[in-house]
Amino acid sequence: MATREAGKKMIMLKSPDGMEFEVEEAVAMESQTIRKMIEDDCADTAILIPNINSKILSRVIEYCNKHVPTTGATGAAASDTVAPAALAEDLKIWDAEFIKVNRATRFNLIQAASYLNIKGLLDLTSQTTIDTISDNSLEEIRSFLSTKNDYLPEEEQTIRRENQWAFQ
Amino acid sequence: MEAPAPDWSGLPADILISIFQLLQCPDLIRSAAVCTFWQKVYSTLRRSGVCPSRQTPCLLYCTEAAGAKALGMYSLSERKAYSMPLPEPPISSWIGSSHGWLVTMDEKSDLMLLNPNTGDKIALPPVTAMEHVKPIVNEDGILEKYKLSFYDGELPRVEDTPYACHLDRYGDLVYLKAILSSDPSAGECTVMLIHQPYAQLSFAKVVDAHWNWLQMHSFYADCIHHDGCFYALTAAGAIDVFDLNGPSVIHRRILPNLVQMVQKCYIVQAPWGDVLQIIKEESLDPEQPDGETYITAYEVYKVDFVELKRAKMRGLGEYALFTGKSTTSCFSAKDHPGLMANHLYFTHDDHDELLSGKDDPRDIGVYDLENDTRTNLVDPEPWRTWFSPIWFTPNLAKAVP
Repeated sequence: MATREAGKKMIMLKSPDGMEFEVEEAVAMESQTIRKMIEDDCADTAILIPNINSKILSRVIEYCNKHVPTTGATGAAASDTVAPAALAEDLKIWDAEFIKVNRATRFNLIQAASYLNIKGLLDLTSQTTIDTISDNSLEEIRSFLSTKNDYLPEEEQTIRRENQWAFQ
Repeated sequence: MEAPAPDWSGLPADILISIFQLLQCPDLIRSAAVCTFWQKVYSTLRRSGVCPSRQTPCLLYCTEAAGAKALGMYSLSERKAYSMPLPEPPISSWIGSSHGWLVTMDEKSDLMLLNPNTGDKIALPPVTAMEHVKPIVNEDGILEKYKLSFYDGELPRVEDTPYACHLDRYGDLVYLKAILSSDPSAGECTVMLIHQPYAQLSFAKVVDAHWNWLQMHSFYADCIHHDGCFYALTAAGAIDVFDLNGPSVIHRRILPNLVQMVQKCYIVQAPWGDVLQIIKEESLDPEQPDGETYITAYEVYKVDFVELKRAKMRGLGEYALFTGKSTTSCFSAKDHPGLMANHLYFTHDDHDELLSGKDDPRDIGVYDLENDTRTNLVDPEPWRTWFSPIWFTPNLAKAVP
């Protein structure tokens, strides 16, 4: 249920495993998918977020809480008092800590970020994946991402031969 | 206990595409080989023409050991050298590099576009279809030499004695630099050529049979394609705009001559929108008593098209510049972590020096715009002096047949 608490509009998010999360509307609207639902007036009751379990959803909410543009009691942006550069630096450090999770969680977070259309979180999770891939050999990429090699040996040979130089 | 790690080959295609778009070219090729699904996504991406946009420049060169059979590619992002085969037919030099394509010439000095990563090639109109050239054929009708005429667009025409030039030598003498309007993989592209005599301009679309001579001015130093037009910079700092999109060429001089002719200058569009001029100055080193040692300095100016002047910049902040035979370019070191901010990456591109001293060492390195100091890119330098190394930004887009 959308309720009011201390002048802030609240939104209820529900995970498929039955957990409910009450979050500020502004926080929920960090997700473009949820923003669209709210703007289209589809958010009167709780919003069910399919495919994202409560563990992941709580992490996503944690991310949005940190990244929502904060406003003080007077309505002035917090960046008026804190230098924007320092704020950005603080967020960067926070992000780096936030993404120190196991591969399973990271895999779920990237999918959640994509479904909920949260650009910052998608960039963060994608960048972590890019860092995993960058400058590593094919075997290392496969191992780090536990991807199953479904090529026939001769198929893989052909693929490698086409761009032999990149596998040096 | 940690949950069993999920198989990342199950990552949805749209997420995978957004990740692939941010990978450097060798990483992307390796990733495509991870599994059949990733290979499919990679193929789709290559055909879609929205191939990775965040490529960091590499240095292309030939080594003494491999001759002209293999190409060295030094990646600035990985700080690692790759070696890839140079496709047939053999090329004898390159005179331009943009959008992941090289403008190469063969032993008859005919020009071609080549993507060395994919092996794709696109032929350009032959030398004999250039304004200042007539073929010289022997009794059997076989092309033997090119007769090069010396004139510019001024009327009445004053013409020096034509020069009969060997087929392979013509390109070295005549071609100064080539610039592309867009990625030729998409099918359409115009090549702008700065050439002798008198550093004039000619252009050809990839489907054309002829080179089209632009006879308005001469002594061009550099050119870029920007907002649908070519912006050509003269050695005296003037900028001409050429709109080649209509049935006839529209030419406007948007910036007058600002200086005496300088030895070398470049034009570049900064990512934040401004057009910049880069001036390279060589002067005698006062600390070397031999009177023969030169030091090089670079200065960057912002062009003001309203006040018709240019203003010296104190620095480039997070940006890095690339100069040489490649299209002059500007990259953000934030988006390209391998690059040094406020530095200029240069390759040797002095036409006369390249021509007269094919075996002389090439001056290639990184110039610190803050402290006015230079450093080598790598040590020891793996390249041979010919072909002179060139900056290159890889592009894996599949060419439209």
